[in-house]
Amino acid sequence: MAETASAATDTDTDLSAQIALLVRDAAGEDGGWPGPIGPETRLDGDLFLDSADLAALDAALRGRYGEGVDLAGHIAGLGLEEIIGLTVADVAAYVAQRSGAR
Amino acid sequence: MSDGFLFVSLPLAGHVNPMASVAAELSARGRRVAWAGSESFLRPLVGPDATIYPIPLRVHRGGGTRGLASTRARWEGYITPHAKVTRSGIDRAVADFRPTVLAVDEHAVGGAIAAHRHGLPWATMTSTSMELTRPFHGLPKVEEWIRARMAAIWTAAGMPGELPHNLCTSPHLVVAFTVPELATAATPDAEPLWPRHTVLVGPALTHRPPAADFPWEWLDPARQHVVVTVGTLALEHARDFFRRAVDALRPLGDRLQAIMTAPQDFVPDPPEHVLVRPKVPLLDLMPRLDAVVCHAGLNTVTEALAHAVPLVLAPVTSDQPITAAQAAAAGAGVRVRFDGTSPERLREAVLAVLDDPAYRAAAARLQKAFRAAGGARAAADHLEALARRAATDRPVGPAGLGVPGELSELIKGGAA
Repeated sequence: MAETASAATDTDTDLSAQIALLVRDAAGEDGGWPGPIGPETRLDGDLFLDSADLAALDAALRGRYGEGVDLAGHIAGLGLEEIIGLTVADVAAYVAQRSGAR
Repeated sequence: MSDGFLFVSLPLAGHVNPMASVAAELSARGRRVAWAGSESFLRPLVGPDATIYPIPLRVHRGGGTRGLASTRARWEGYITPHAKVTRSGIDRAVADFRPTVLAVDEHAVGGAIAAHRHGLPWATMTSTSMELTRPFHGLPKVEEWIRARMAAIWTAAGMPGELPHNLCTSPHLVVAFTVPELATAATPDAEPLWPRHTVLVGPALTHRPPAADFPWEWLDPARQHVVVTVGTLALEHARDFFRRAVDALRPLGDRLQAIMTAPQDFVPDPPEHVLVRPKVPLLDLMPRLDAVVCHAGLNTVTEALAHAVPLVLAPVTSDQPITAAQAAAAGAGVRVRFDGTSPERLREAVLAVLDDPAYRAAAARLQKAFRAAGGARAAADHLEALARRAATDRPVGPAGLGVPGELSELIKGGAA
């Protein structure tokens, strides 16, 4: 996303790490993921998060970064390929843009 | 000639089983019934006496994909080529059999197009949660992508003009093998998205031909019984799931026996109380079961609930997360993640549905709803009614448009 064009600053990395933890909490009820979740991990394409998982993540993001963060609304505007390719880093960039957390 | 019903199927057991039940019910009523499908796949499921017009077998190559990639694979790798390779076979079946009505699998789009081409009324047979609940309703670009694939199939089949409507949803009749109590359980406050001419008849379980052998004497009446199955399409992803399931059930040998439907090599050295078989007569086993651990395919879920058996739901792909959410919201099961859920958590989930009577009570409520919905008998009634309407309304217009009388009212009602 264009908002991350200023490259991987520490803030971006931190935000991605925070969001990776939220993803784990939202979906991995017992933390039992087969592998680590990093910035390049895809929510749909790698983790197969379903709509219930995404709703939980959406709620967690709002709670943490404010009501201006609307991941469900953001995803609703994406096409099929964009949703398949959506990574943790993409979510971090979206959150940074919406919350001014940088 | 009496009313004839042509069933257009896909080579997927969970889709064919309920359609076969309805077809057998119509045959028992003296109606003419035939199938367009793959002889080698269909014959064991529809019995030795069924008439089958051959259409080529095409294996679901994208069946192993997960997430939204499974939607892409379903349309690009399966529905589109299936519609293409089956076109001439379905046309031959229509010309020879002269059906009154086509009963078309929701994803056998070639059957829908054949009905349009020949001006015949047709019913969609909905055997998954995918088309009924429109899971991409909130993702307009995804729905648009699917519609574009459908329009391309329509045009490639030589049909004129614009795509008239969603080919996975007949404008005349939609038969769904579930009930509102299940299909709306996860979204109780939302208006259902299915068209008004949808009939929800519950699972169709009657007239099932004899299934696989089973060592019935192995079952110990002093212990509880649990089946672990992931259906057919998810099997390639399931080796690790079965490993964790065995570990989950390993300490429970004093209280239960488990039957795992998996290749023997998925579960090497199973403990005494675990039986591993690639095929089991699941429907025949159901009355003996206390819980089912499964991938949340609608067919397996409704077969279990029809016997008031509670569920542990580990959805893998496609519409399975939707069905899992429905059954869990209805109180009839516990949802776990297919990937990575630990043996301890799986054991907790199994013990919860075995020991907390609320799960079985919720499953029993759905069992009651299924019985009231009527299953194959109700589906056959609706198909016969469609045939009668077609007889009084003839001729049915080409492409299902401009159909006079009651049918056209139905089409308008279904346009929403």
